[in-house]
Amino acid sequence: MITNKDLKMCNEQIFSYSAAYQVPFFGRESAIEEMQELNKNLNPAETLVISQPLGTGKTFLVNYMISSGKLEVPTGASFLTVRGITEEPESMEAFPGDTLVVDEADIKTTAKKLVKGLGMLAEYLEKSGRKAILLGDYSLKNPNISGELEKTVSLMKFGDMDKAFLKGVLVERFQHFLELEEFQIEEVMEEELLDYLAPEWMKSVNSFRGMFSLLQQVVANEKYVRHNSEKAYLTVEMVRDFLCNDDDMQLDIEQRKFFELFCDYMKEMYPKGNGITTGFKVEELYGLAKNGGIDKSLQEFAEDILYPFATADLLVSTGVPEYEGRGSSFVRRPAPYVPSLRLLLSLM
Amino acid sequence: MSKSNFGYWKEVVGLEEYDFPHLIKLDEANIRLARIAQSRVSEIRKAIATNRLVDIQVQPGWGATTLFRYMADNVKNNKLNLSVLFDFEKDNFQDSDLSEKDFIFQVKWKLANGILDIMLTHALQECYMFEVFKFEDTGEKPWRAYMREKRRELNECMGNSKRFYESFPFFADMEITECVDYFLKNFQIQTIFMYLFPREADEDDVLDFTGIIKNIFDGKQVAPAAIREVFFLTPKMFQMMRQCYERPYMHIQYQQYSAAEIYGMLVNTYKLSDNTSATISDVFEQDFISCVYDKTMTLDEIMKQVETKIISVLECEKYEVPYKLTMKKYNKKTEVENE
Repeated sequence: MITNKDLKMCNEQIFSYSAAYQVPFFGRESAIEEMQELNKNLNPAETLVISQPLGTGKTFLVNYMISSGKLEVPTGASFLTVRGITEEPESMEAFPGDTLVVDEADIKTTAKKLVKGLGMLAEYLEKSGRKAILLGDYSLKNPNISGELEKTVSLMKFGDMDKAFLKGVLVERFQHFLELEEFQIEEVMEEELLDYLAPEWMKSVNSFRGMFSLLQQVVANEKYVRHNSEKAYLTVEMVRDFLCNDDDMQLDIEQRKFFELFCDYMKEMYPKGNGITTGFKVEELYGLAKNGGIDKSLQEFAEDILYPFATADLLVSTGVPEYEGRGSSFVRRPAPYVPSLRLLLSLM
Repeated sequence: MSKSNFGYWKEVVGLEEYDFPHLIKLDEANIRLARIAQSRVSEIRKAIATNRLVDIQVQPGWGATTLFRYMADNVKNNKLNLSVLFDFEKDNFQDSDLSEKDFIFQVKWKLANGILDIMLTHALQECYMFEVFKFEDTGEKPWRAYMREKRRELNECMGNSKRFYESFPFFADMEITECVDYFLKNFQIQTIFMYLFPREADEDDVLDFTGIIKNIFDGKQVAPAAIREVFFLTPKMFQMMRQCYERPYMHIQYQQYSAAEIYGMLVNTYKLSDNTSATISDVFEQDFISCVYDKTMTLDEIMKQVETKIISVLECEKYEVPYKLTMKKYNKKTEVENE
């Protein structure tokens, strides 16, 4: 039996969301195979692009492949970043081996630096004949950002984070850190919690980092898991209580009004999120707002309500970040949107 | 007339030099005058003691700067810790275009500065202290004299990264996480990073900074006890940061001060120049704050309203101005006695 004490003592390891702990690697067989193949066939000045949402395990995958010799990149080398390239272009020359690894090509960097950094990378690769592996989010799918990188191949089989994958990862970790021979995840976690954490319609954008950070916080909190010898068991209700008490949502009057409209809509049309496929477009949500009496233009609605909702983790963006070029704004979290775990649980 | 009566009252009670009732801005030199309930401080200290990452969300205009300075002082004086402080409000977060290289240099300089101070005042394991500052014991110069020289050198290279790395090669060779790990393993010193963010900042700047700290700290193998990161910021700013870089933070929603707490701040910080034993409570009632108190306003806005209220009750003849201000209106002519 896994006790609360056992869980709390191994909390940071089991629910590790970064390479701070050495955790067993699970799955991603297709991604590994495809990456090896693509990397082997990379031509001089070509870049292998992994464009996936934040926190989905790109860096983790590449680190694993390097440390296990599946990628010919010297171990121990700190990855370059796009921002770092703009500040210190000489760091590209100093990177060991034939293939550069460049990380953080994502919305944490300003659009201006992304464009500049990727341009510098392209230029360097052309001059030196070296190759690169580039990790970033959907910003890399925007040609206004990544356009200067012309010679690219993309990893297509990264793999989604569905329930089966999540279960597999958790089982590996529990077995490894608690030295268990036989273990079923249902011993410590409510099945319904797994359904909420990894619903089908979130699988392409679900974040390991987000999910494991959340579980770590819940387990660390004495309100939900006390340091004792009782059986450890994580439930949906614990996570719901944590998330929905977590923050004051800081919504203004109109935002709160839309929040209530959207919650009612979700309860009626997509209970527990079932039925959501591609996500909600701005026009669709705008229609909902207008019918509910919110009097704003489409542009105002997107800026004053939708975008703050995405920042406040009530909606998750599944779109490609928007950027038209120099002088234009960088819309980091565009539509389509899907409801976040926090919003879904608040409907319970 | 009531405004001049207010000026007169301040002279009578010994507050003429101050901008009473506005809260006095406390800096590092006088931060211990800050009046913060011990339960609030204990909550923060407990969070820092037990969690690697702590965010303290303070509503804009509700004292984040004072709280940051108070906790920085508190942390420094309570245990053998090394604090690395970043006051982005003072250092113009949005105008600086902070680069990763610069930030790393600033952190390392502050680490060197902090550990040097500790080494001058505490007995630590010698061989490791010598290693940090590359002391060669040839008999020519005693350790303390060497350290005082290093202190001078360190001050001289405050803005000069090239010189800093040449003079302090320990910090040139080690990453930040390696340094803090070294300090824990060899000196049992925990490094606490404390960041104060301005009330308003561009998303670009917040996320740029988020990317920098991710690159410095993420995935590095460092002992959990070696490091603490404490963020003082508004809820909106925290959301911005967390959205792009999710980590298991211990959240503290710092509740806005009550009217009584604000009154306590006045009592603690204002001294009546003519009378060393008297305090504000002898000349001024809390009711002035209670009657205008509104959480939707900032602290400064509340105190502006308090001033307006004070002036409104002093609509009277000069000889009617009382020593102790209460909500009672002092006007014999109209015989108004109520608040």
